[in-house]
Amino acid sequence: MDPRFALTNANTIQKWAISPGMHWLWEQFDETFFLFNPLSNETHILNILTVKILQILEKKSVTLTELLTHLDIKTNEKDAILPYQRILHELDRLGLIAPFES
Amino acid sequence: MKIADLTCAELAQRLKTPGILWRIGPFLVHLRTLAPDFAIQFHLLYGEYPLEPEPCPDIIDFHIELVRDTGLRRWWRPKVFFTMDGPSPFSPFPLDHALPLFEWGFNYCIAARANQYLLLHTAVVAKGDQALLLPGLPGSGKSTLCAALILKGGWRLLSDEFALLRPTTGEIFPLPRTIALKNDSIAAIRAFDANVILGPEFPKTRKGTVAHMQPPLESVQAANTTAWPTWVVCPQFRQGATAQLELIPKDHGFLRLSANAFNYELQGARGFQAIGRITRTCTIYDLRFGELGEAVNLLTDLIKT
Repeated sequence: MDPRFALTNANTIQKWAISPGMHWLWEQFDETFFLFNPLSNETHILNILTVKILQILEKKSVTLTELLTHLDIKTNEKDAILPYQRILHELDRLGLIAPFES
Repeated sequence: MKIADLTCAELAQRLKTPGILWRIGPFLVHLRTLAPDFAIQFHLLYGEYPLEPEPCPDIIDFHIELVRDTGLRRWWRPKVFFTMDGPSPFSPFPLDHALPLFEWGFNYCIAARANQYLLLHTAVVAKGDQALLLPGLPGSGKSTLCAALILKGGWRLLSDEFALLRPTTGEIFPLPRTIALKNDSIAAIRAFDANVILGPEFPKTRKGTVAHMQPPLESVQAANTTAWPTWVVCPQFRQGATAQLELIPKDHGFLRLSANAFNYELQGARGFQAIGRITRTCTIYDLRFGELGEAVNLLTDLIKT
């Protein structure tokens, strides 16, 4: 498994926030969300779950565990949690969010 | 003064030196050439366009020159170069293809420089101030359908190639140039309207045989009247197909339009917002058609609904 997605202690306590200086733009058509990142001039197509995660991170920095609480996901099953970890890393890779350094 | 107020000989002389100042849509072009026959063709196709007197206080957008080659090969295979503000951005054409070289070169000028607009690769026609956009890949029938709509559908030509959209407001500026018809489209348009005025046919270009259709006088006279995107119709010619419109979901529409813009990424947030506005305000369709008259009727009926 890619170590970035492993549910290690380090990964679950890592805090995430939207990238510094980010003022993204949204458009929603039907069930599809389009996000424009002015820092990269790229447009991303997102589903509703990813949008909810970004909206949470817009308000505050959170760990994966806190994120799951905000999303009202009550499970400790690794298989159920891993997709959220993966989304955070994908959003990080796209430059939309970043590890939060307090 | 308009171009047709000059004789062909006078225009040819002006084109040689000092060149002409030609206003087309929002652009002011300084054009010079020594290419023979170009003046006659330009006079036929662009006769109704205004010529600006010199000196002109306005800023010239493009300095275009069609330059003959000077090497020894010019004696048996003469060529012509397109230059924009000095450099020549692409390979020369045979000298007798100066007009298609000019048309393609002018497209290049706009695509490369007119980034004050969101540039959509689409034909645009309008009824009043309501614009119908016809984006399509080469071979989709975009230009042929555009020609048919203005010849018999009562639509006004804004452009055969670009929607020049002001990103902050969303209005489209007309650029009523010639319509470049290719290959079978030339005969199709001649059959569709026997009164159509076409320039000479240029065989063996990179896109096959090309002939340019003169824009209608009403469209030239309305070259300063902007229009607002109202419908987007993506045409696809299919031999023998019955004309049929199919609604495209908005999310697909957004993707198509953003992919269609030459300078979407360059525009940044303005481009994103402009594409979003078009997607929200326009109804977006796919159009399959196999017969021009049927497609024209279908699209003309569309605005009545």
